[in-house]
Amino acid sequence: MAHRMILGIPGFFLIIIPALRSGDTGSLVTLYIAMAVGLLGLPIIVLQYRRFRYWITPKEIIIHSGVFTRKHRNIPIERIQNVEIIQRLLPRMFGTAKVNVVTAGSTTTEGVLEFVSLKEAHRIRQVVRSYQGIQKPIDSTGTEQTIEVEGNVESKSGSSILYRMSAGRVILSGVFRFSLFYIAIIFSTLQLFEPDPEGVIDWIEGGSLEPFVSAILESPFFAATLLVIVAALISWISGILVNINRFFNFQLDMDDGRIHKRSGLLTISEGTIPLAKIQALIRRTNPVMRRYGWWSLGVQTMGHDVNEQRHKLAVPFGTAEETVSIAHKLFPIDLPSRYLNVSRYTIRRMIVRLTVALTIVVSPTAYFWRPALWALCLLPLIVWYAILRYRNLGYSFDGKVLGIRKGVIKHVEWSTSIDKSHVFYLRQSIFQRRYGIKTLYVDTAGASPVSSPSIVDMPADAADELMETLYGSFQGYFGDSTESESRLIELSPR
Amino acid sequence: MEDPTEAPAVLAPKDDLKPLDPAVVRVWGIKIGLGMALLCIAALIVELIWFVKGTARIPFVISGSVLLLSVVMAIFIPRLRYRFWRYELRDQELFLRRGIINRVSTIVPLRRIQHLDVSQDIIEKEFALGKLIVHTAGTRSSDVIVPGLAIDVAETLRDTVKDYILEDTL
Repeated sequence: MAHRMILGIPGFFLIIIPALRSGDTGSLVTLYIAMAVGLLGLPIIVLQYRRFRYWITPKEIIIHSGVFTRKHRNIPIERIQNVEIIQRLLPRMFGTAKVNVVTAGSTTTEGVLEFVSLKEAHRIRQVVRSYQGIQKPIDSTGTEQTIEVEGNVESKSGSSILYRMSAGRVILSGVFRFSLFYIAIIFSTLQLFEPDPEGVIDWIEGGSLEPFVSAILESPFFAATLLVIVAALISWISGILVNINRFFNFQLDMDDGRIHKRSGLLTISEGTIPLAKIQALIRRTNPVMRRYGWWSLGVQTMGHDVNEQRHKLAVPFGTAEETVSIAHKLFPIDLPSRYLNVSRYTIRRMIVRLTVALTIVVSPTAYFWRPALWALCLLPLIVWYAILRYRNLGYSFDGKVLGIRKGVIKHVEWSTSIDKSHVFYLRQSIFQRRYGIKTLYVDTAGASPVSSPSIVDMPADAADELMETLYGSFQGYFGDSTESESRLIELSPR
Repeated sequence: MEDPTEAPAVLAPKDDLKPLDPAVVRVWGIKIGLGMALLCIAALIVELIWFVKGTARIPFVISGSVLLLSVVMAIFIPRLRYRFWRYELRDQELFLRRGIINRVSTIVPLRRIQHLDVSQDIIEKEFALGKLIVHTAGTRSSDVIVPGLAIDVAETLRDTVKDYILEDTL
């Protein structure tokens, strides 16, 4: 049939731009290098453009690419989790977008179609969706089979808006987001420009900042405080700006078993996540946000790409009630409201662990450099950290919903339905054996490998019991254990 | 669920579970020995240089102690590891219990298995042993390994479990 389409790619000249722009500053040498790069790079870019082809068939997306090594990639339609459309500023001015085809089980985005027109991007998504609709009998009811091309999300008929961020709220969310990360970026960019220190000093001395300068020169303490305040202010403001750029016009809507989100000021990104692919919900807050009742809500899906984390935020910034009610619409569970404590021995274990780590770091350093012993002043901080961690640790299970609360300064509430669990672990180290405690971990698809949702340091018998209960409920969910054969066949995965 | 009369609890006591094939002790011993041999050789080269230069206070003390340590490790670690390794394939799940320092119990529900491998390296081949590797969609458990099975046992296990693999486990 005519399902096989060879699709052209506009925006060829856009690809050349990076090559033309690279190193247009400075001396003749860089110019020569730029010319050499251009001479070599240009044919490659042309070849890359000519060699890049993609087709969409009812079964799969086929991408052919590569100049020196040719890559043929086939992505089965039913394995596609999400089709993201990302428009960065420059491509946006040329009316093009990037399409990310996200699949399960890979650490990176598998299919990247760059420099397609926005119209084409929306069409690709629509085509993929309609093919998925045809293949899955569950989705076929009520799905429009025609391939419609539309650029505006609001105009869609069957969708309902779940959450929308007003400009005020976007700014507010930035106010609460404090990250030292941006400071590092700012300072590293400053280093690129290499401001002439003498010139800066001249400018300061000549200007009206005279009293400040003399005060700074007189008191190092004042200078340090000023530096900290300025750094904090810069990071605060840059955090707000980054947030505005990221979440401007954020909108989350749901239609036909999928959530769809769209946001961004300079870079507009759009993403769709099928509800059936959601594995768990993650609610986050920090002490300041919590004080004023603000939370964020994220979804856990397959695909472990770290860069995609932010695309998994369903509600970047909302009140506790908003996150709870939207959570209920996304995933058929009620978020747990009460959590049980783990064993108090966890405080002791954390203190021992951190103290040992500190000793290992400090003692060799102190051997050569005595003042390193001052690091031992951190010991009370360790105690405080361990107590705070214990207070935030909690778990709950009501027969269906497993909830785990974690975090020392930040609060993370992770909840999933028992039928989403995959492998069950019970773990006991030497130290834990001494105190009769165990760590329970239920592995889920797409769980973060770094901050995994495990219930650390439960009393051993409670852990055993919970493990039995969890696994029992898991088995119970999938039906009677006696007729295992027929059950396995007729199971329709949720 | 928890019905003592019908089914035993999931976390059964150690004695009810199957141990690995005893030959695995030798396989592990050889592997640890080979790994430590590299370290020994490195230490030996350094100390030979010192010895030739005449800067060594006590000749070959480091490589000697590394050698001693590796012999001890190659003898005792496999034995301990073997002693604590237990597995059992039940009609609903694969149950594992293992670990010298960190004791870990694992329940892999059969319906969660994505695919299965039986692998055998060159040392295992000498002893007719193999590993059963169970792949699931869980992040940490993308491959759950049962080592040290007689190769025909591993293959039987694989063929038994294969029937349980579902089309789409997510």
